Amino acid sequence: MLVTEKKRNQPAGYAGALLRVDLTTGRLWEQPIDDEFARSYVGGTGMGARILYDEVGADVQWNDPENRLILATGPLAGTPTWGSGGLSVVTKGAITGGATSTQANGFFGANIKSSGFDGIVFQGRSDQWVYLYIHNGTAELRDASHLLGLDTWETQDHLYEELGLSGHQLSVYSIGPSGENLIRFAGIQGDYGHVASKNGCGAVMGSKRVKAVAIVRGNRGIYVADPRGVFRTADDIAYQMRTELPGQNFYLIGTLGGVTGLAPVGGLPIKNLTTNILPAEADMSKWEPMELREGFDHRGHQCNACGMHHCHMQVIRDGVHAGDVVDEPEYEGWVGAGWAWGCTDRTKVSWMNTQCDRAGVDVNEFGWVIGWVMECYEKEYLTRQDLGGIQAVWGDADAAYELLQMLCTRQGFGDVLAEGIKRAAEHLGGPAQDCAVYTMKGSSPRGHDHRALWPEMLDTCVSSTGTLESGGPTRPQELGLPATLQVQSPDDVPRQVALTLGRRHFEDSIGTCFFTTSTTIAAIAEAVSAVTGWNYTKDDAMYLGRRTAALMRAFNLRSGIGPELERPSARYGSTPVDGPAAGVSTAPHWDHMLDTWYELVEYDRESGRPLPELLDRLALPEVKAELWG
Amino acid sequence: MKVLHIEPEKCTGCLRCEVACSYVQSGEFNPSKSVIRVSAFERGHTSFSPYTCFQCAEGWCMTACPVEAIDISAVGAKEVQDDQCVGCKLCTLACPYGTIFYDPEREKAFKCNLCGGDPQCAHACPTQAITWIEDFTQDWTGAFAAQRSAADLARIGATNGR
Amino acid sequence: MSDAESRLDGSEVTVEVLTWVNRLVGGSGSGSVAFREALEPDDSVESLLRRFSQHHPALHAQLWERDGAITENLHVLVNHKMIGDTHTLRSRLAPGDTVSLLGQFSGG
Repeated sequence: MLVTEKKRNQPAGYAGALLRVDLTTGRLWEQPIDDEFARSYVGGTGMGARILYDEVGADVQWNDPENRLILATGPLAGTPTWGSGGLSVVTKGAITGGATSTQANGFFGANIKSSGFDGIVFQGRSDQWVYLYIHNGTAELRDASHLLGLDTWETQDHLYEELGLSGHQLSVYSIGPSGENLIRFAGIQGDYGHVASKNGCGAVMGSKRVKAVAIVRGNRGIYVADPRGVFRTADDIAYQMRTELPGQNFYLIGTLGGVTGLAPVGGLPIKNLTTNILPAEADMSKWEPMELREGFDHRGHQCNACGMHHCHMQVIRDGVHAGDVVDEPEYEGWVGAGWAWGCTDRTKVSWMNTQCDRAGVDVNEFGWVIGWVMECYEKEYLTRQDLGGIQAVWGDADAAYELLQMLCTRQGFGDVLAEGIKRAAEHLGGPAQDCAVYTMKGSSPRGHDHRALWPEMLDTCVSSTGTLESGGPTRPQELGLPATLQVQSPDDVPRQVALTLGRRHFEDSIGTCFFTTSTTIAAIAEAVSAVTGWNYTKDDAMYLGRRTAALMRAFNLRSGIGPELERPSARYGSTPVDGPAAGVSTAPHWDHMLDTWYELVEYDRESGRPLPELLDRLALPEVKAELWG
Repeated sequence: MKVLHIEPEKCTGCLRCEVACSYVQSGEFNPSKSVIRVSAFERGHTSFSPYTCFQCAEGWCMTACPVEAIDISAVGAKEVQDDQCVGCKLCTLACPYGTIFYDPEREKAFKCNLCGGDPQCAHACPTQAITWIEDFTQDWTGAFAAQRSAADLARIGATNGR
Repeated sequence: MSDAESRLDGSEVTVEVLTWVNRLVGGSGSGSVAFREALEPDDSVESLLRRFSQHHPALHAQLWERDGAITENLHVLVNHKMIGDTHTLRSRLAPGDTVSLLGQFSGG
């Protein structure tokens, strides 16, 4: 067991140490965070990217012991800023074989800092299955053999009882059966419904034989530089969330407005992108956001210090699962656990979404996998016999649930599906492969039909994180973009994606949630200043973000992932055949958009390398030396 | 008289009250020092309620204190006088609500003093589950806890019976 | 078809405000709230919206950025196609056209 002293001189806003865990030897130690490291890399994705770049070489595969799995928070975690329980996961991922940045919230960030650490870095591989227990500055690897096979919610239930704790006294971030069985799109789920789901980070955790991280809400205080400023900036951001777009939308209804909000522009994926016409059987009045909330008995289930009306629990009212408690799906869940494969019964979708969380799979990729299987079944590329007797008819939730079980245990064709949509499609090849939705890097899109929303398609394809890297431009003018951007314009789209690059890396480094920071970068930077005592500005934030992005890009180039892979699969990049975006296509504009994006981000168009001048500006001489000699 | 009014149905379990209270208590963000605590019901993840001293009329802590270290403040709070408290913990045993605590670092009892009439938990609560309003004080959580715990108790009972 | 659309006369367009955005024009935040708006000579999508939003202060405050541009947070559609497809904000409107305002969603 590692026992640490309470810190005296840690940087303001920090617990002051990363917990290092070598699973091969069982050794645990502290890596102190000093002022310089904190200021340079801030936390979360920023620190994670630095460690990944420094410690994981070109020859290390995602499932090698030498891979690192970094779970980190940042300076705002545990403070009154809304949504300050942030977790950012960085690793070499199982889907792309490149860098990963994926987030969850809940109470991870608040609890781990109260127990003396700003993050965890796993390396090596344990002989036995273990869980990591953290409490008041102590840390210990404990036997997890009794937790094997449990889903993520059962794992937390079990640890509640075992440790005699409940509610937010104990945060548990775990893998389900999918992570144990190295399903390539397994994620890490925590605190009943918060999932860092991208790029197979759960498979990496499984490969290290770590079932869970259990963090007790401890007694170590977080000292901040300017407490009044911390309350003031938190209240300022909260005020903007309540009163101004786009935060106000998330404040009122979370992401529930997505289904009815995206359908009119052709942005709602239906049946594996085969159509954009709402099915006749779908009663869209039941999909209006307040209907989604009031159609279930719901309970608030907010993350640390959060006032958004976003995360909720639901109790299912009717059907075979009446009385079951589930996590209210995010927009992405309504799509991945339903719309993407033709299920428009909201009760079934809600239940299925939580089954994905409990099994520990990424609900987006689940949606693309099931949608593809159902399309292949309809077109007879896959038969009932291939699927072990499952009749994979569009929208059949029972079939989808059976497929989930099959892929989580790698039984039969489940072993193929467990490899993720790209590899499964390549396995079948031929016309079946043409039906699958993925990028050539191996990742799959979020739950939007990007054929109508080009910035996200470009972002997903050029990303170095395994998912959207730039994200939406919350306040575009702040970054020199016009307020009104056309999402189907070959000129506007790459400008938006390029000039926003870095914002998300910053948000994912500070220990909060990008929904609760849907305001200006300047306002968020001010909150960082209050906590840390730095004079942190928008420019500092974007510098950190661009620096982190460059590190991740360099890491990916080292891993053999370059510009030749930056395009969508046949179906993902296809032209919508019907609906609001019928006939529009990115294909004729793709090279032009890439050219523009590369020019604006200052990466070399041919090789993908960040240009030497950019690396000089970002003070990354070691990256310049590696990439340019 | 103004009281700290708690409506458990509005609580989402975000613990922002604890974060704010702990700052008043300790000068740091350290929920273990908070004198308002959010209790979890229904398997710990679907129901929550803030819980703190409701300044009961009986004043059990005050009565039990052998050195008269607990006074009633101008805003009606039972308040621990640090310079008189000898850290004997009798008050923590006497309180039937579990809302007075002992701080081993300072060797003193500590509890809610209504922040001298400007309770920070009420400011911090984003859903108005905690408000500072004119009312009569009462145990705000008991009925809610009984209702929300019923299913858990039935579950445990059923397990024991098997 | 809404009441508003069915009663269009020869010189009007429909402005429909969809989903949560219609809270800003007195709606419930669900479905569509539709208005008839008289078309003036040379009306563009932008000039029509500028006139329309004058009657709805909550929408007006959110729709326009300080520099006078339309906010990034809303999508504008003309005849159910996004701006940039058949129309730009400066394109002229024709009687009977439908202009829609819709919330933006990304990520999440």
